Amino acid sequence: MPVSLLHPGLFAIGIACVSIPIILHLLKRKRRPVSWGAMRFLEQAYRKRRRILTIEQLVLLALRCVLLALIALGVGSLMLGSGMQRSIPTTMVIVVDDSIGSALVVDGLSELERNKAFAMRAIDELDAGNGDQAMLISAGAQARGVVVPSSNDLGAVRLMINRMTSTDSAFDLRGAMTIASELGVDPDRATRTVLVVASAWRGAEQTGVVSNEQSLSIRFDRVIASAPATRAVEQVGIEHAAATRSLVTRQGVSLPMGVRVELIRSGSGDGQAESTTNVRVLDQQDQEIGQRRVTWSAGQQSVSVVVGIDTRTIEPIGARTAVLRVVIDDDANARDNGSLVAIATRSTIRVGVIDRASSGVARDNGDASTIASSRWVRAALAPDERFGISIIDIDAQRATTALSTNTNLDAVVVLSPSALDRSAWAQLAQMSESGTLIVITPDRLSESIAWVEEAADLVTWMGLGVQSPTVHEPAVGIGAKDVSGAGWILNAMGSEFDALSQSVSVSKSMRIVGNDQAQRVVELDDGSALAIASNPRDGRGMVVVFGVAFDLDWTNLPARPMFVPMMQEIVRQGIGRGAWNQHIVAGDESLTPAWVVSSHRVLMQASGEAISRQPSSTSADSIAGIEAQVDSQGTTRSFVVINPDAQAAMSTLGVQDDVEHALSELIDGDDIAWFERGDLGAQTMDNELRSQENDVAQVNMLDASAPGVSMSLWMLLFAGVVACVEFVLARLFTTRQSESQMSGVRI
Amino acid sequence: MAGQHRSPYAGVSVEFAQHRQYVAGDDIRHLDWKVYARTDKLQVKQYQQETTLDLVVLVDSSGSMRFGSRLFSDASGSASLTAPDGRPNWSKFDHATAVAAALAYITIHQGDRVGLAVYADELRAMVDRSARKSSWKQIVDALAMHPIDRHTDIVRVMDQILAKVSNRCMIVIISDFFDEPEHIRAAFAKAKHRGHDLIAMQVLDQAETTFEFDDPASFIGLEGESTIRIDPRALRKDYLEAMNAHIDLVAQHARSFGFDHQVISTHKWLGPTLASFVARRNAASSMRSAR
Repeated sequence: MPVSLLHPGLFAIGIACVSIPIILHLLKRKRRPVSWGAMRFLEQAYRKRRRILTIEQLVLLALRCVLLALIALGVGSLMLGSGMQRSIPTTMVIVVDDSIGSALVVDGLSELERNKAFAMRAIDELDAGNGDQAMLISAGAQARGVVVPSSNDLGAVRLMINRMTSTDSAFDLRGAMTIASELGVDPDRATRTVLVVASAWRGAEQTGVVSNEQSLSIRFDRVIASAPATRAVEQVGIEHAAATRSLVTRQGVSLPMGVRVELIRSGSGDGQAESTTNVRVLDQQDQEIGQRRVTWSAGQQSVSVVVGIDTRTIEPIGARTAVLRVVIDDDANARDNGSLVAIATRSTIRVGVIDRASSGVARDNGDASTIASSRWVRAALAPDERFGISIIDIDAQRATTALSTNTNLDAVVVLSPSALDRSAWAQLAQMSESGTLIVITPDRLSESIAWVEEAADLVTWMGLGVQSPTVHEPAVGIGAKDVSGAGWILNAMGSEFDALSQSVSVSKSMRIVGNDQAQRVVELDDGSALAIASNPRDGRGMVVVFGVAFDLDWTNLPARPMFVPMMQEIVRQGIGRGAWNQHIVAGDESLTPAWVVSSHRVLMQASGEAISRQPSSTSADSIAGIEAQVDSQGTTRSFVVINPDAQAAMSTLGVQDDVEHALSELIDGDDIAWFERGDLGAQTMDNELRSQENDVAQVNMLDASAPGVSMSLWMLLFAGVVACVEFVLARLFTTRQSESQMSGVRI
Repeated sequence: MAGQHRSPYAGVSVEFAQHRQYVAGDDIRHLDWKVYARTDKLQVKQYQQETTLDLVVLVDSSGSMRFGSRLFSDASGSASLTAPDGRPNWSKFDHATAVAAALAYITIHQGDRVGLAVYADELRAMVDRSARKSSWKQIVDALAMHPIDRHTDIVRVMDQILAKVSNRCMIVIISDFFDEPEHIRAAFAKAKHRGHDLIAMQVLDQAETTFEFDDPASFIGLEGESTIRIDPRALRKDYLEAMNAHIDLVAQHARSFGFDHQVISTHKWLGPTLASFVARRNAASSMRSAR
């Protein structure tokens, strides 16, 4: 039990007085000398009793020291519990867990309301008149100081607590502790620091709250924490949602498309029963464009499904981006029941195809080997208008002019790079910087690779290296055994890729390589890259470089069934990925390209609620939503989709020992006083606070057990007892001989 | 006839004491022929010999005798508040000298011879035995000295005294007897061996016999002992026990040789002490002469 002193100064003086008997004992006091004749008998008696006398003197010395110490404690007003330290101003750092987990509703009341009530109870024990102050920290990632530095306006702190709402982010305990350490207590101010952490601690283990990180070594005089919740509540959240394609066209043919949704279930441990969850995908008008029922088996905690969607009604919120909303059935925590998915949209895809004018004329004489590359490309991308792709043929000799007048091209396919001059490459580089997809193939009529030097601004950053064409005798096949994966640009082709690629052979190709900023799209059977693509970065358009010209002298690819879906996917996925729409969870930092001048919220939360805040900072935000990133031209070039942190919303019960360990790691190992937040039931917070007044009176949070109990009287009474004992013993020791029956020598 | 004391040695003397039946070996010169003539019985005449009582007074002047808690003005009976040497207290030595002077005065006026010795670890002064009244002044003069910071060596002093005393006499030792009991016993034994009678007058101060000190104090030995700092109340019982045991032992040693032992308090009047002494000596003389 903690103890403290109401008057430490008096106590210090009293304790100093304890040294008096010790000093007197040690000092060889000058007593009145007595010349004595019968010394032999005195020495005899002294030798006989010297050991006992020493013990008696030490006993008396100890009693006198204890007596003075007790008097000092009494005068200093020793108090049991910390409540007695009312004379010392208290600075209370209140960390309220307003993370997404706090939105969990249990018995009609959210965990946040309980956390706020807990914080209110703590504030109620402060006394502004005594100089007490409070600091309020919102612990939803990233943690932020709501009332920082500490304020003695406790009413304002209460108001700010009342205004707190749950965020969509994780519980950022470490961030809160960092704020407390950086902006906390004035070291020059004599104060007692108390940390109050109000949280249900649900999912603490899974979300890393209790991870063993480096200690911040923050010192608090007292640490008060709410005990972990004990009521198991099952709930389902959307951990991740993403469209299977990154681009939809609103005109022409609608390619099969879906949204992959990953769900997690928590709260009841292994005892989770079978259940179902309806997953719906809504468009910008909240019209359902896809739906699927998910069946959970017993004990299953995660599931991944693809919900097919109808893209015909999808409309962009900006010029080129649409937002879909994935929702699931309402449960105990509504904040992780929705997720936003940004997807690039185009009415029609405008693709420029650069080729030599002379070769751009179809030599349609029935010999397929004479078909120009541009014809193959057109045939693959826009066999008719239903595909929603319009092809703009560009003469390589006039590419600079043509490109300057067609800056809104979504993609440019360069089939004759050797024919482009430096200015055309510069134009292409500029378009790429703005997000245009650039596809480059070798020139079928030239084996020169000098164009790589001219295209340095476009391809150098991806480390493109090109060698002169080599002839494969016999021709080699293609595949993608080492490149397929979630980020593979041809991922939508799925299992069809292998079947389609079997009939493709390459008889001549250039060897191409890239750095770690590039990924392989297609490989030759000998393991070399046939096509590489740059990874999306900072809103820069994707660059895809082929090692073969689209000519039958090089490969039979253009004439094979694989060519159409491959080109369709490269163009559509390439354009969509270049749109640079980021998907992050609340609390995470978004990437901000250099061209971003400003950003603002443009739509709704994942739950569908409107967001009016703008502009917003480009740093992490704890509320889900969509943030538009605007360039210097005032154009919204990309969006940051901020979704709820469903992992942080897991309702798994926390373990007090783990939490205590984590807190101890952060705050330099103080003992933690645990208090129940109480079963608030369905009452309102105000009612609850009123009903808890009695509880507060009974259990003082600033004191571990009870309101400060003055031990002053007890100390003084005890001192009196000790004084009596000392008096009796002293008299016994010193007078039992002098008051013995022997009155003197018999004469 | 010199002296007023009966000699303890029955024999031929001038004062008839009694008859007894003649036994073989008796000196026929002591036969009472007149009785024989009247009764036809052989009776031997016995006489009470009257002798001089030589008194040798030994006064202890060791350091411990300097102690005294009684005010000089209270004890001396004079108007002076201090002793001639400026002391305000009446020491055990003062008391011893008063007793010695009184004994000498009484003895001289009884016609007996008195000698005096003042000693510590050895004889410091001595007045030869004399029955002259003027010798009392010599005795008083010899007593007008101060104790010295030395301990007592009673055995050595006894040897020195016995070397100077040839005839049997009475030895009165006036001392606090703060010496080793074995030494005291040895001195008594020497006196007994030489046939002397002895009276041990143990002079003690009331403070020594009550040890009633209330405050802690440093006690400094008067015979060169180390100083000790004590709370007297804590040691009183043990001290008094030690003191009592020593007194008892001195008395036991004295009586074991047929000597008298008397404790004299410096805080009491000399009269009863001297009266008691004289009465006790007369009783003892009577008993011995009756043997």
